[in-house]
Amino acid sequence: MIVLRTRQLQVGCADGYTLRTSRFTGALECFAMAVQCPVAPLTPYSPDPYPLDVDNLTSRMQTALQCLQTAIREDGGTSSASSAYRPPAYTRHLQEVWDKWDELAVESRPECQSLRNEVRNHFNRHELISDPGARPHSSSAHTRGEAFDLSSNLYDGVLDVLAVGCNVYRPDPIGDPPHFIHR
Amino acid sequence: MDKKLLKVAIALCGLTSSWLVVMPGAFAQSNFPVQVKVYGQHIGSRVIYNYQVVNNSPNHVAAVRIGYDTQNDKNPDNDGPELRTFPPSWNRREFGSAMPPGTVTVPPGWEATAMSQEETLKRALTWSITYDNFQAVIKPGDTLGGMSVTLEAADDSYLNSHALVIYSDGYPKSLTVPIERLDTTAPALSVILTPAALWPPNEKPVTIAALITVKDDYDPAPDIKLESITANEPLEKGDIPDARIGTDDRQFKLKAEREGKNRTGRVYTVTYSATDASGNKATASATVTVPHDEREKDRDDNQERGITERKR
Repeated sequence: MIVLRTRQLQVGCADGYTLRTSRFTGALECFAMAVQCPVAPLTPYSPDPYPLDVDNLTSRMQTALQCLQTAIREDGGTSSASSAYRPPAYTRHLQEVWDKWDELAVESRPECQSLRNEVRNHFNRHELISDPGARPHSSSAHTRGEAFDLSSNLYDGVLDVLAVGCNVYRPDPIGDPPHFIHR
Repeated sequence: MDKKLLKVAIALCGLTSSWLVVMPGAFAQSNFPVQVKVYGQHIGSRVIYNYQVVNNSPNHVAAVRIGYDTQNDKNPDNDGPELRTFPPSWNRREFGSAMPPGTVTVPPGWEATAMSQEETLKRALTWSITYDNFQAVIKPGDTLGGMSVTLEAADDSYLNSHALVIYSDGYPKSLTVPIERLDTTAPALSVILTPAALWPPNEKPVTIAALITVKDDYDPAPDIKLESITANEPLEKGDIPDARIGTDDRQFKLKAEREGKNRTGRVYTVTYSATDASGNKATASATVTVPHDEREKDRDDNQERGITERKR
């Protein structure tokens, strides 16, 4: 146990120590606490990852998704939908993973390394590293069933023309290329 | 805990600054333990924003995200990027979270990454230590510069937004601070117009040249604009035939005309502004006179010669 005696100019304690009154002398002292990462663990969410949920898209977005997938196929391209309807709680979970990885990616304390690894695995599982997605937005159109993420091997220009024909468009083709919402 | 001792401890907290050094969570929002400062520079047609991180906290700073506001309320719904523009060559499909070559500078051991948020056309830019490179952190008491981003055009969201500072230790792990301007001084600007007097008043347009001298403590080439041309007499459409207000127009025509009743003659006042890339603006004016009669013109000429002689 390491004790930092309280003097006139020092009444706080360094990380890993807590301020309390000595049972023996009555003076304020800093006592070593149990070593524990101060960053709270991830809030559990199930099912994780939330499966691709097209059924809970609004009917017009279901129609648009089907239309765009067909149009891409007929144009000789391929497509892959990665996200459609997302429950608000799942969106909050994705935000938490994102924000926690933000902080833990640069975490140096040994007591935080297991949490850091867990969050990194989570981050990888959501494919946020291999395809660094845009941070989820809590009032996202996904949570209203009004958006889907779809990637294609077609040129952007061709994809956008096909999207117009299916009444959807990409609001941020530079920052969030797979994200489509209704026109 | 002994109540007397607790009172002593609280009293000491109020009297000494050492508390602030030991307990990062105790800072009021007005005393940010980490400051993120910026100054801008015009280089050619581009604008560069340079950032410095001053770490007065007891923790080690491992990342700073420019243009990101958490509102300090720990509510993720309010978190979001704030930068309105990005280097135009960046797109997420090609670069992912990396920045295009030549658009950012990074200190040794650090990297820069791009961030976007769903359904938000705004961005954020993060400088952080490279993976597990903890010797590159900003230690308590240290300042780190060498972080810059080059844009095609000025964007004041790089000056006026927030920064998210992330520690490699300590708790809370991060802190949102407003970005502070390192450059708060307006450029020094002077304007000399030639000729300063128009004679004879034959209603013909005369070309005026503006000699602009500008100096700034951070920006080598502040943005110059012709702000306005006014006169002490009502002006008609053809009196200022070709001046391009709002641009860096240093040569324009003024009509050599004045009203006969006005004994002071016509006095055109030409105003320029100089704005540095940190947003500090200075204005300066000079006049061109169309004298009422030749004696006044001679007097103006003599005054001009006097100024010249004094300068010599």
